[in-house]
Amino acid sequence: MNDISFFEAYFLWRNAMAAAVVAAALCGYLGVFIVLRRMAFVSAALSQVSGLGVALSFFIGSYLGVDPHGNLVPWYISPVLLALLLSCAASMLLALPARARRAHPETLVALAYLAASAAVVLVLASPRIVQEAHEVGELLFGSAVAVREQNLVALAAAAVLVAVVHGALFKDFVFVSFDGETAAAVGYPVARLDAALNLTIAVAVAMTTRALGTLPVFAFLVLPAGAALLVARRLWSASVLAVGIAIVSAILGYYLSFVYQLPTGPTMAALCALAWVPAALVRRR
Amino acid sequence: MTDGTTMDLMQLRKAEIGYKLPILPPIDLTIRSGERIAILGPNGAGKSTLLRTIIGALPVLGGSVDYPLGRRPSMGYVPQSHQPDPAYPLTTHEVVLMGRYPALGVARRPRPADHQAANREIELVGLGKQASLLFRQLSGGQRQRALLARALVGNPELLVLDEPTSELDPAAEHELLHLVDRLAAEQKTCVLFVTHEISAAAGFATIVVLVNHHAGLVEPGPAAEQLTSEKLSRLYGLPIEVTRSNQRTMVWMAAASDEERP
Repeated sequence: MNDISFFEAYFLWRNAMAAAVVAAALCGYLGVFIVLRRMAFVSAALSQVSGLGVALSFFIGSYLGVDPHGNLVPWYISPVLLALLLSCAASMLLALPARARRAHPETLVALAYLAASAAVVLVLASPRIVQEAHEVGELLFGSAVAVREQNLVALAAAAVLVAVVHGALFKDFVFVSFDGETAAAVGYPVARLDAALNLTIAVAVAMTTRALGTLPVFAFLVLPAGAALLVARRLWSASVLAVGIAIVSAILGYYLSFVYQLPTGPTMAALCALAWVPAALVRRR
Repeated sequence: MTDGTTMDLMQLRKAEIGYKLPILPPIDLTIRSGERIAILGPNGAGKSTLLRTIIGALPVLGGSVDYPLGRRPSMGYVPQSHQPDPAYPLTTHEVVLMGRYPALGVARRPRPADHQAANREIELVGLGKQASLLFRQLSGGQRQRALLARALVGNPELLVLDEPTSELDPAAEHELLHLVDRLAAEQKTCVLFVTHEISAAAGFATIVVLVNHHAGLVEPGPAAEQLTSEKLSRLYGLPIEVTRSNQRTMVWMAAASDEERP
């Protein structure tokens, strides 16, 4: 147990909790598309690729003598920017039409996941960033408990961007996801809408990974939506329920990890998984 | 234009179709309003490739596709029943409403008139009581009727169906084709459908395009001239018998033992 109470430590967790709630809401909503489009492991791969962006910024920073965690970071080694660029590039590559690819989509997802995971470990093992390795590791694997104001603002901006895009294109995203063949046949711009949807997911993954780490982001993207879709009878109610489960898991996970000194990311992920128990019990056709 | 009641919607002239190389000989085909066109052939014959070319999903490799109206005809599309994912928690009404999206355009919300049109089409296909049920709760035949309603709710000039009856039992197949015939006639819509079932083409089509890329065959013509024993036997590589009686066409495959019998 901690010496000060959770509420007395408000100044310590205010930003991190806010970031967790925003990230949970964002990922919980997008998760409905991710689960329905059967791209759960695409989100895992994007999360790892974003993590690679974070690790690379520290690696490049070590050559330039700049700490990417500091306040005066050149834009070209900003962890957020590199995570964003790599995540968006990977999402576009993974969304290429089948005819433009030489390998099966699942194989490419596994390739992206494994290559990014291995690269992160290799970068962290580099003697050049040995001093920052622990800090970077926490950022990547979900033990981060402190979020800077600027990261919170960037995350909120990403959430607003996703909300605006989805507010405008929700019906179109549902159409191309539900029946892309028909949408294409009747002249709908399926490729552009798929790209827009994938980019919003890539942006969300990059920004939330930077704030929370890969494990809780993957959990928020898949588990709340999966549980919500077990019980919800409408798409809007599945979205609302998924966001609710994710936010409750984030807040409760943060609280429990503080009180019982548990790792924050895995606690949130475990609570997301627990939501499946009542969902499976009340599952309706 | 052909006469006062029918219009040319699309003309394929010496069109070569395929992904990188042509898989069929060049085809000439004119698609007119009011027609029922069946693309008939065995599995793997190139039917879907021809269909994808007609709907504009594949460019022609040679020849041309002309639009006498000066634009692509508006299109309704019924995919194979397994294509739309039943995991989505969407009601029948929400699925049918999607048929209004192409006219609405991207980023524009359906208006009350769109909801009314969807409800009207749902009633026309006999799913009024299932309008608020989830799409996944419908039977196979009901799903195809919902997808037909979605294809027709935008009042298309060309209704395209990709093997619409492949997973239906004979009763549901008959019911669906009868419904397509009636609704397309009411809306003066041209119907183009892909099938490997001779019975579907025989009972419904006015024009039949025989397709088999293994035999280098792509041949459009009036149904009565196409559905003959000789042509169908050549198309399927099997002895097929066709007889006509009381304006009905009966088709059956002669068993090997029939051929060998003295």
